[in-house]
Amino acid sequence: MRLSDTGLALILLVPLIALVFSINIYPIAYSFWLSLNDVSLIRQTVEYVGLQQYGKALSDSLFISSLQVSARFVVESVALIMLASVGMALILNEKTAIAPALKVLVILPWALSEFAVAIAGRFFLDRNYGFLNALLVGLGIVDSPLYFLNPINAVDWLAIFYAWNIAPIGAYFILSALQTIPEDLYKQAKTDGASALQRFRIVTFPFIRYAILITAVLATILAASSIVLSFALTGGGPGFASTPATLYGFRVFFNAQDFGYGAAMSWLILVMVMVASVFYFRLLTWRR
Amino acid sequence: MRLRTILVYVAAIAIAVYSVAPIYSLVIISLMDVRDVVAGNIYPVNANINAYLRILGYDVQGPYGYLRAYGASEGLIRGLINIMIVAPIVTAITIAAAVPAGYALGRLKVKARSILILLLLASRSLPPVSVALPYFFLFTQTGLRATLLGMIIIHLTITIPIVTWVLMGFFAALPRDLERAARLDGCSRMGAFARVVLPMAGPGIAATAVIAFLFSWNDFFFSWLISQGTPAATYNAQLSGFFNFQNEPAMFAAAVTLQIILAAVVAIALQKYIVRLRIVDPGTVVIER
Repeated sequence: MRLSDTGLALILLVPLIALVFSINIYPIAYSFWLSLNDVSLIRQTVEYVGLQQYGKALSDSLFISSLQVSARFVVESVALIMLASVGMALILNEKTAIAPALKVLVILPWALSEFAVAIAGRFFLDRNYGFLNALLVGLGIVDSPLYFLNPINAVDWLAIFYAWNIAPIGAYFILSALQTIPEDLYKQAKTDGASALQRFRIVTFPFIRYAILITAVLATILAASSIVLSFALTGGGPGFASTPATLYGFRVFFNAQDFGYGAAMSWLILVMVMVASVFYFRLLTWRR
Repeated sequence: MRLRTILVYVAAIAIAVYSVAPIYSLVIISLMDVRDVVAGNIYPVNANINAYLRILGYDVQGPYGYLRAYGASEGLIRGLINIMIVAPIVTAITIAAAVPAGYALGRLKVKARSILILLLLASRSLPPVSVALPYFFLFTQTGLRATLLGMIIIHLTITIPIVTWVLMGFFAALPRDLERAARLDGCSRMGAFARVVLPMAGPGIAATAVIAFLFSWNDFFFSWLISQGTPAATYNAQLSGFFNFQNEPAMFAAAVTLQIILAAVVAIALQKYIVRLRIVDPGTVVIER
């Protein structure tokens, strides 16, 4: 018996579908059901409240301000990731004596867990014994240690450390795209008198456009779902200054144990990430 | 031309410093006594491995006096053993499931292909917090909470979609001539897959194996959710215990450094495969007729 391609594909896809979709469906459905209810652990009751939890979230000033923190964190970290990964890829693509060693060093931050990045950031920025302060004071740039994780800048530092963690994989994606560019194209552009900037725009960019897009997609989705970094680096503080929506929702779940409300918030976050994903998916498949 | 070379080298050195600085600061803290840490040293003073010995359960004689072992070192060591069991199993199952799926999506003519790809992308973009509580309840009810099996399953739900997605692009980009030749010579679809496509895909599979291994090894959120405070707690879940030891930066830094070392070794050993990963535009994937 000969199988059709679709038949064979279905057989090959069984492990994927069985493992991933089946185990994801129940939690997703359950959390949606929770979001329509008011669960009280103290009274041991579950009361159906419709969409009230969603209304509550949208009028909760803490949730709104956590969304603002999330938006700022995502925009800043994606911008930094794009800049750093393109810059690193361009330098790695140069034929220098140190390029092979540099390739190894650059991947290191990506191998770290989000938790390890957070703890490294904590020690790096610490007010009392942080490396950055020790360096700045030691070099005589500042007189006394600086308070980096203050209410205004804490989010920026989260974004900087997130970019430090994620940019290497983007740099690798872009580098592998750069390496597919034929050398002749550059020579030709040069003989035609194109400046360095023009050469980048006309020759380089079309080849790395897709890798850049993929990096932006991954960076956005990952940054929007990030929770461990803020949890372990700043703890969401000082006060509420660096609590993204994911961490606030988590706190409502596990600390306040307001399950229905926490589920509703996580659904609002999910919808926002989904909208961004669909937008990106269209961008990825968009043809000129 | 000379100036350009100098600028490239300056930028390269800046990138090297940027990539290593936070790791360097973590490592030097792990090598110093707390008094030398607080003094704000930018290189290790009185360097020693006392912090590593203490988290592994040994009392030590430090430069400023006797230091007791870390109280929860037993749990930490058990966590290390747990993750050493979980991560390789997760990697193996991920590859076993994602290679056929990636091949099917990247190279075969499948109806509803774009819907499957969108679902893959969507399941990857679920914020962990959205599924945290239902997972917690589901795993408690089914008895999977606090077990290594539960940990393996929850890691697979993340690693399989991402690895399938990457491999899909990789398979689609492989040259088709050899596979076609093998089929003309009488190989079945599966035979051609096993004898021709799979060997060509070796480097791509190695790279995605690194991704799967590192995800499992590095996962904090789900490990903490499913296993914190239980005998199945992985190393990362045990690390949260150090939040109660804020006055012991060296031990915390040592424990985190220990976690980083294996991840770094794996990433460095296999970086030549990671750099070869090509992500291909899913819109331009050519489907073989």
